[in-house]
Amino acid sequence: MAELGLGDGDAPEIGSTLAVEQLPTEPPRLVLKLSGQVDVSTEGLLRDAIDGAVTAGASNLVLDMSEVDFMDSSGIAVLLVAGRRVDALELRNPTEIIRRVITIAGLSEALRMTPDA
Amino acid sequence: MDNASETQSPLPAEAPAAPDGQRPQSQPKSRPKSRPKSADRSQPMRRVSRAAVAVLVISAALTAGLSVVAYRLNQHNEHRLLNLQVKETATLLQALLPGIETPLASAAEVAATSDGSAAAFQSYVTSYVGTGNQFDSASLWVVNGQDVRQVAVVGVPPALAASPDAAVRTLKSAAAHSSVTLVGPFGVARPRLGYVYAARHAGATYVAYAESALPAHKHAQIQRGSPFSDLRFALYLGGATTPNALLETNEATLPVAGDTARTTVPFGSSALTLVAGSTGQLGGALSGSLWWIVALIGAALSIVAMLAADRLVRGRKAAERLTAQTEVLLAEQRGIARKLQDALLPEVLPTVPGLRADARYVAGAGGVDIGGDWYDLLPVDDRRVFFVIGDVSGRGLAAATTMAALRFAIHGFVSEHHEPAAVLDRLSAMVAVGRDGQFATVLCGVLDVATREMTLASAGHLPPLVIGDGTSAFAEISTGPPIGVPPNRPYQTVTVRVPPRSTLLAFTDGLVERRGETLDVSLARLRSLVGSASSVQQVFELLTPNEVSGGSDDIAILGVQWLN
Repeated sequence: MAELGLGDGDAPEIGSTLAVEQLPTEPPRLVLKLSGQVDVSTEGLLRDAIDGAVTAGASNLVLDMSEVDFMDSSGIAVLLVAGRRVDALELRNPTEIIRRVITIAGLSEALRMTPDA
Repeated sequence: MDNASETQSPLPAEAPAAPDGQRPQSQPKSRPKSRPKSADRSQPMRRVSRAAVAVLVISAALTAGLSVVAYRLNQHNEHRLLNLQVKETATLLQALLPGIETPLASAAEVAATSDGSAAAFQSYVTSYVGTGNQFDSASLWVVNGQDVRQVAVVGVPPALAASPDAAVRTLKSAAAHSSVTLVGPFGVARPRLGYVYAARHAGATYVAYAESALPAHKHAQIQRGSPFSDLRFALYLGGATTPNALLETNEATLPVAGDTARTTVPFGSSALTLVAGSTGQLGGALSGSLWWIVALIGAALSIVAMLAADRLVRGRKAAERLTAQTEVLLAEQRGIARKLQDALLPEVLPTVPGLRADARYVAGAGGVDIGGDWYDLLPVDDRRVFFVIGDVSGRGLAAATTMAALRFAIHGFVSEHHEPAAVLDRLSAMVAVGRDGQFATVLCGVLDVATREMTLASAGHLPPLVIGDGTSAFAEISTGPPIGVPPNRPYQTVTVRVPPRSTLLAFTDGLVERRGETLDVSLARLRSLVGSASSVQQVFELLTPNEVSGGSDDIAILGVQWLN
């Protein structure tokens, strides 16, 4: 058994980083660009960013997911909660990794991804 | 079900609290280290750390070394400067020679060319003799073979003449030289120094002799600004420094004390010897004080360095103590989390004839929280069993309580003989992500022992792997959204018949998820790893090393094998 690791040997909690950047847009539309990993150690950061956006009056929230290469159930929970707080939540350009996490979890209806696969 | 299921979960080896039996022993051991704070605190205050003492010793040694170097350098420099000054001063003495030699030589030549005329000598030499002039006494002598005769005297009588025999000897030997010869000194209270110059003419030698006074008792009063003013000196006639040869000094007692320099310079046919020491710092006050300034600053710096080192050492020790305490606390917390988790998982999987089951729970690395993963195996009747594997999002007590609620609710629904999809439908009402911030993925199903049929329903959960007879495949399931996520539509069931002796492997995403790859790749890796296993035991043997080295997420695994 040479190549073992089924689970992530890199322990995402320890090495995970997430950057959230707000792109210039017209309210009530707001775009947050995420880069890195959304997991149990970084989901707080994403939650705070979304809180800030909602407080600022954003009702049309776009999350640019093109540079997110990992997301676990904690991250999905934040997205699902965010989806309930705004009129429209859009996950823009998710990587194939994120797309599969969402579809396998049966969440492709709950979380709208664009462009449609 | 011969091999009763085991639920004990292999803890990561590094977890300090690992085996329950060891913890009570390690606790009292580490506690007292941090507990008695008062005693702990007062001790290091009194005692400076060893490293700090070492710093002090090293910097004190460096300081001492530097001071010695500064002191030696200064000494060396002082001596060099003294040597220079003594040589220069002696050179100045030589410059006095022409003022003595010229009138004396002229007087001798005048006497010679006038065949020893006393009048000619006297008229020439008079202006050089008397108070305020070079000489106190001048006299003309004629040496003819053994005959030595005084011809004329100007000024006081020469002290040389007081002892006629000595005078003859002195003049005869001095006459052999062709330049000024110094003789004497004569007397002590009012000493005089004699100068001799000889000129030859027509077989006779005409000797001009002069004397000048030395300071009373040979003790010189040196005026400020003179080249001698910052020297303690003694001047001798000739190369020896005997009391008889002393011409003058400004020291009360001889020889000159302390560090001295000595030089002998020619003076006409004679020589003068100057021995001198300095009265102060020739190289300046700073140069002389440098060694103790270095010592003082060095000592101060040494103490500062020691205090800084002590502070650093103490700070590091405090940090180490704190880290140790934190580790103990973390280990305790991990232990608590594990106990609670274990309490929420089935202690022993039920024994079902015709099936063999095994399960594992592995806490995520570094996790001190409780996770929300779980598994369950519930007998429905004598030939059917209901299995569950699930994962509540997030961690901590909230995840664990939701997990417990879902788990016990499933027990209730199964006892009412609900089908898997119906169980999931009923669970949906219990969690709402919008309200709780949580959701749960659940895979459940009914396994028929005799027909090897399984009826599966999934709420957003990863499909199970079916391994049997050299083949393996992920079950084709119809996945609905996770529990707690709208839309709340009825879940679908899928019924599959598996090959003989197949193993059903259900798991949570922690087993496969890896950063930077799609779940399909992760699932394919799992399949290639355990896909050829022939029994449920073998599946777990192949998985165990991965679980323990596993990632951050918790992992729950349930394996059930048909024995027919």
